[in-house]
Amino acid sequence: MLNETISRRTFIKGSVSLSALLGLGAAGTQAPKGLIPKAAAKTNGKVEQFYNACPRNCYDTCSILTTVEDGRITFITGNEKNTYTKGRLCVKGNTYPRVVYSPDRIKYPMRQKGRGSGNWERISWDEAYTIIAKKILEIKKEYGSTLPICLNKYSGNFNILNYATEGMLSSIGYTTRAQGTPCDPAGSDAQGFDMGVAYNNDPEQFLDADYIILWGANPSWTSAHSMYFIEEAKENGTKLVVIDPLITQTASKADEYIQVKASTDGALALGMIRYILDNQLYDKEWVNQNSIGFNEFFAYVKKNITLDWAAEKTGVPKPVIERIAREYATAKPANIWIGFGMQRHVNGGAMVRAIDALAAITGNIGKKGGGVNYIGGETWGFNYHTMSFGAPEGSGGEEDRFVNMNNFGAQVLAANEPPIKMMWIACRNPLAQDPEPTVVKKAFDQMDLVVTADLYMNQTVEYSDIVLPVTTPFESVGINVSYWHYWMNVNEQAIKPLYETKSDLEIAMGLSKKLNQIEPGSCTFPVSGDPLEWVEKELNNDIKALFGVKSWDDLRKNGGTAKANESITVAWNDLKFRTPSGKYEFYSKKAAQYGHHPLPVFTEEYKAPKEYPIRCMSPHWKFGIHSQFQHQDWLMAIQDHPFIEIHPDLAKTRSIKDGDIVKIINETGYMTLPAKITKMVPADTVVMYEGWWKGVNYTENFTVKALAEDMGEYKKGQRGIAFHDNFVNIEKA
Amino acid sequence: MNHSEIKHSCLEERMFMYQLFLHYYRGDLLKLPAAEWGKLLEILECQPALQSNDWGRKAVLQLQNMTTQTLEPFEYDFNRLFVGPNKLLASPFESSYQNFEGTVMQAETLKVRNFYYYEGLQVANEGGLPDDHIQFELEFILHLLSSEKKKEALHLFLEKHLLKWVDQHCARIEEHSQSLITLAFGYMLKGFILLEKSLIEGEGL
Ligand code: SF4
Repeated sequence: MLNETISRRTFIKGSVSLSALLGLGAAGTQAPKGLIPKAAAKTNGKVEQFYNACPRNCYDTCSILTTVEDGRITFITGNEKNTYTKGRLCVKGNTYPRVVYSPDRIKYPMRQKGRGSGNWERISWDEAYTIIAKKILEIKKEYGSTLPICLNKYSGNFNILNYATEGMLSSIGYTTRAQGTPCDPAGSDAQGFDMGVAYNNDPEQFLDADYIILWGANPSWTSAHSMYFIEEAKENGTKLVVIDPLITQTASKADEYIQVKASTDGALALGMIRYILDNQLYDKEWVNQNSIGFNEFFAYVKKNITLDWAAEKTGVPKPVIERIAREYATAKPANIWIGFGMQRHVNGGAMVRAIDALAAITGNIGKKGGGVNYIGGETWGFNYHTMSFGAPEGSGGEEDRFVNMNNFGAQVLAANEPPIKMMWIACRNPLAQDPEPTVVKKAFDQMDLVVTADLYMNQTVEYSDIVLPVTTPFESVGINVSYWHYWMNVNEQAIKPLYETKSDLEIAMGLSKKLNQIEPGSCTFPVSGDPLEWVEKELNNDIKALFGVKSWDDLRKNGGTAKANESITVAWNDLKFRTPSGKYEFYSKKAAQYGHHPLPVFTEEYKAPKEYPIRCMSPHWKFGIHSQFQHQDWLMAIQDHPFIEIHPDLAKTRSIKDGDIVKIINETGYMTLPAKITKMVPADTVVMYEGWWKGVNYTENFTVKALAEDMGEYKKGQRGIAFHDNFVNIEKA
Repeated sequence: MNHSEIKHSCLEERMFMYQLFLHYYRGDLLKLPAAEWGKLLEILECQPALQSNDWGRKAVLQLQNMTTQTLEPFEYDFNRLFVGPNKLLASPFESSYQNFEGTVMQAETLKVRNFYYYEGLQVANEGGLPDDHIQFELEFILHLLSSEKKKEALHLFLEKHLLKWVDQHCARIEEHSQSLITLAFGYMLKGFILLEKSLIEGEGL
């Protein structure tokens, strides 16, 4: 087998030379980074359980029970002690072990040679911190402040300790921030004008409702745990009505489905109000005692709204509007859930104000099981200690500067004096999620340095200079609450962080350490600290009292989850609204201050341009949350490519058949994808689900213009995006 | 050359090859300057077993064509195949091939860990790095090779672990490699594993 003419001397030369060549000792058991003598105490078969929290941008914010065997997660399930999670996770949550253990996670800090080239080199954390710290200090020196550094962070992980990233940026000086939210801004402003703030009833109270309207919400896909309560209520005789332009999976479970023309929901609500007023079905006492501006609103409705108009505008037959209005007004209590999608229109805020008014005139606000439920933040009163350190002495600038997260690319490009030169991106994927991705890309091109912290490769990482690998929830500690339910969930560290991943908090401390090494005093963020101590610092006396817990550790030892006491679970139970008048404001001076009509009036929907007559909606997908979970091959096994849903009538006009490749186009961009012919969408609308990016070179936002919603500045600093007022044309490709 | 000398020589070459692959997968060759690659090639050219094998010869031929331009994409390609940050094109973890879902840290990983335990070893960063990364398996094999007494364990480990999956790993390298060097090492590993298989079969174990 071997070539016998080669002498033994040659072999020796080989081995010795190899070691010499690499400047290393012979790679045996003593080699660095490798195997070591086994620690004496090691045994197999150790089983432990930990509490975790699903930190995604999901209504449900589940409490997770994690089983760890020999340091490996072997099973996860919902925590039964949490009566909302109810011992179950959704299909996305059930893939978490795969999220942790997929071989494809981002494992090490890496630097890309040539943005978008795919040429990555591995670097150490120290190198990464050094590159970043030097750039920060260089920028500060050149521009006299850290304002050219821009943070774009949002909803990828809502662990309270993850605000360390914002805290770290604040600790280097004043910076530029992507402000606002693509999520709820118009609706939150609307509820802010009407009631002072958006505040929802505990969703477990669906069980107490006599009538439920899901208005533009599809919880079967986006809030699976809420569906339990809704379906139970239905079992008990509560009527379930779904109002939506699309026949969603939730619609298929309803007692009655009402197909409304997109962006005319406000007209439907006002039509119902007209009927209720005409028929004296409103709650006079409630209105008299708890509101201001009712008479003006009454007069507006009498003068401007008719049922015929509402029927014509919305496409909902007049008798249906009348019947639903009567049923809603006479049910006690009646519950409305307004979905975020409903307000992603140029008149989204006005529509939410009209629906709020419907709930208010019927006295459904402040009632257990009732409410006009949209979003809430009552349980978020943490200390946010990670954000408390402030700018170092001598930082240039006077305050942070803001760019609209919803028009990020254009506003980054427009920022000057000083321009933006560096981006830090965490918990976000702007190149997939933002409108006009080509403009966002141009903004990236202007940067000296783009740093992205993430779990998996995505388009934003692809176009970054440095990627920092982050931990999954199971590898770091934290605390989570929901913008929907009333539970607080502990997140324990269940396993060792894999590879060289770090939490955002550790990254903040590491970078601060490096900055202070290079230039002492340049960052006020602490350079060390035990995450367990950090998390305890988040809980103040108010939040402890609200949840009846002594500490994070106490909660960890006692079931990992706690529900807020009943003082807050019925929104506006005390009927003390947080408006300037302290009452429900049909007439809002605050709204007028922000340039809106003071009353919940109808405002016109965005009209389709002639060349682009088809509305393209991009609702949430059932197997993903925005662009997350797309890397999950388990979920990709179910559906691995995007498609566009087209009504058969519309398809016929363009000779499109099921499975045909279709080009969808407007002045902003185009894409080609397979058609799915379905009657689930109206004939004037096509649907492409949100968050698709894997395996294709486009996202659903390729045709989305940065068209603003009507509201958002009051509560969120910036208006949202009218994602669903995206008009296109389609043709067979 | 008498019989025992062949065996001894063979062991030495095997150790050299395992060491080479260990260094390779640990990333030690990524920063090797061009001149040093020449020296490495010289050493490879006089490894008899390697030269006796089609894949080995092919690998050496590949490396003989190396220029300084070849070196630059080597690191990027190495990372695309084995490190990230993208989806790995040729995962270096045994469980990616042996586990039916291709996930790391599974029962398959634990079996490898137990083998290390049996020999009184463990991965230094246990729990932080999957025990079945090829670099640890190679290091473990070197440990077993160093003692005649561990021959049985060595063969068992090879048969139950490395030899079970490394062919698939090499196939993925062949399919996805974009650099002459990663491809050469893929060929070299494939050829070497063939020799290891035939050696074990020849020894009737
Ligand atoms: S994605 Fe939502 S429903 Fe699913 S496990 Fe996480 S919090 Fe629960």
